[in-house]
Amino acid sequence: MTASTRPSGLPVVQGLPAGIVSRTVAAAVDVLVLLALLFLLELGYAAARFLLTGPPFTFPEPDPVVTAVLGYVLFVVYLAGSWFLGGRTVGDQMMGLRVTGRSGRRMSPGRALLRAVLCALVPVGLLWIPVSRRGASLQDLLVGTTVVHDWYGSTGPRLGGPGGLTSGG
Amino acid sequence: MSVPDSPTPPEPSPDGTFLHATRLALGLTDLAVRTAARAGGVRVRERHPTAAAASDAALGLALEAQHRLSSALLGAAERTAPATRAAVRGLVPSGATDAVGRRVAHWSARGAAERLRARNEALSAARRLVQVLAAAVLDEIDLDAVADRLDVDRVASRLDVDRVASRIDIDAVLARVDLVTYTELVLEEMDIGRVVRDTGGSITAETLDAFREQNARADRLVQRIADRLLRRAGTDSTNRPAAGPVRQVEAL
Repeated sequence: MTASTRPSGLPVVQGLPAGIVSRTVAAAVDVLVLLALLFLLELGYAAARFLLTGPPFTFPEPDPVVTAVLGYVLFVVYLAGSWFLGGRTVGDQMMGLRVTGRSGRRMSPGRALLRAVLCALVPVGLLWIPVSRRGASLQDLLVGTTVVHDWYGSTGPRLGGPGGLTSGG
Repeated sequence: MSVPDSPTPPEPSPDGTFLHATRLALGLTDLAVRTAARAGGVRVRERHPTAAAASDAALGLALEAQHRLSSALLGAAERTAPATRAAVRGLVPSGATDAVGRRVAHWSARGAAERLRARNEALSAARRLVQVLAAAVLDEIDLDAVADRLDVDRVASRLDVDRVASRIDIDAVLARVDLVTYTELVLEEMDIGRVVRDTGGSITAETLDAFREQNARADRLVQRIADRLLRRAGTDSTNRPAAGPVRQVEAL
C-alpha cells in the first residue's frame, strides 16, 4: 500500500494513539484466537487420550469453572507473551496497532503480564478511551502504556511519514 | 502329338494345336450354355445316363475323326514334301521363288501388324466389357446387406488391442514432442507469476489497509462525539504524535 492510493482527506495516523473502534476490533480478533487455541488444546488432549487409551475418540467435557479458568489463564499468557515478544497480538497485527510503554519502548515482562491480567479481567476498560484525552484505556492508565497505530512495523517505510513523527521530533 | 488328358500343356505340333483349339471351343460352348441356362432361370438337369453316353460318344467320334484326318493329311504332306520341293525347285525359276518369298514376307509383316492391332482392339474391348460388367455387378450388390452380415463384434473380438498397443512406441512419440518447450510457452502466456503477485500480495494489503482506514475513521468519529458530550474542544490525540514511535525512530 502506498500513500498515493490513500484517500486525501485521511490524516496520517501512524504513531498516533488508536481509538476505541480499532482496539475493540483487535480485542475481538484476539478472543477468536483464544477460542481457536482452546479448541486446539482440547483437540490435542482428546487425540493424546485416544492414542494412549484407545477408542472411542471423544472431546473432554470439563467443568465450566475449569474451562473458564483455563481460558482466562490461556488468554493472559497469550496476551502477555505477544506484547512482551512482539509488542502486538494477532488482533493488533491485523489492525496495525502496537502496544508500548509510555516511553515508547517495549514493555517489561511484569508490566505485560499485569496489563494482560487487567485486560482479561476488565475488558470494559476499553470504554475509557473516548473519555481519556490521550486515548488511554483503564489498563493503560493503571499500567502506564499506550497503543498507537503502526501499520507497517517499526522499521517500515511509513513510520517516519509526514505528520506522524517528524512534526513531534 | 500330345496326350489329350495330360495336365502338361500340349506340345506345339500342328495336330496338338488343332486338338487344343477344338477342346477350347467345346469347353467355351459348354460353359456358355450352362451360364446362359443359369442366368435364364433354367435349372440344368442331370442328363439321362444313356443320353449322356450317346452325346459323349458322338463327341468322341468327331474328335477321333478329326484326329485321324489331320494325322493323314500331315503324314501325306510329310511324305510328299521332298518330292514336291524338288519338283518346285526344278520347275519354278529362282527369280520367281525370290519374288514369291518377298511377297510372302510382305504379307507376313502386314499380317503381324494386323494381328497386333486386333489384339489391342480386343484388349480395349475386353476392358470396356469388364468395366461395364463390374459396374453392373456393383449395382446389383446390396452393400447394406453385406454390412448386416458383417459381424463387427466378432472382428473386434479377434483384434488384440494389447498387442497393437505394445507395438506402439510411446517413448518414441514423446521423444518427438518437446513437452518442456510447450509447457514453458503455456506458462509464459499465462504469466502465473503476475497473477500470484496480484492476488497474493497487493490485494490483501490493500484490503487490510482499507479496513484499517475505516476503523481509524470510526475512531475519530467516536472521539468527536465524546468530545462534544464532554463539552471539550477536541483532544489532541489526532494532532499530537505519540512518544513511543519517536523514540523508536531515534533508536533507528
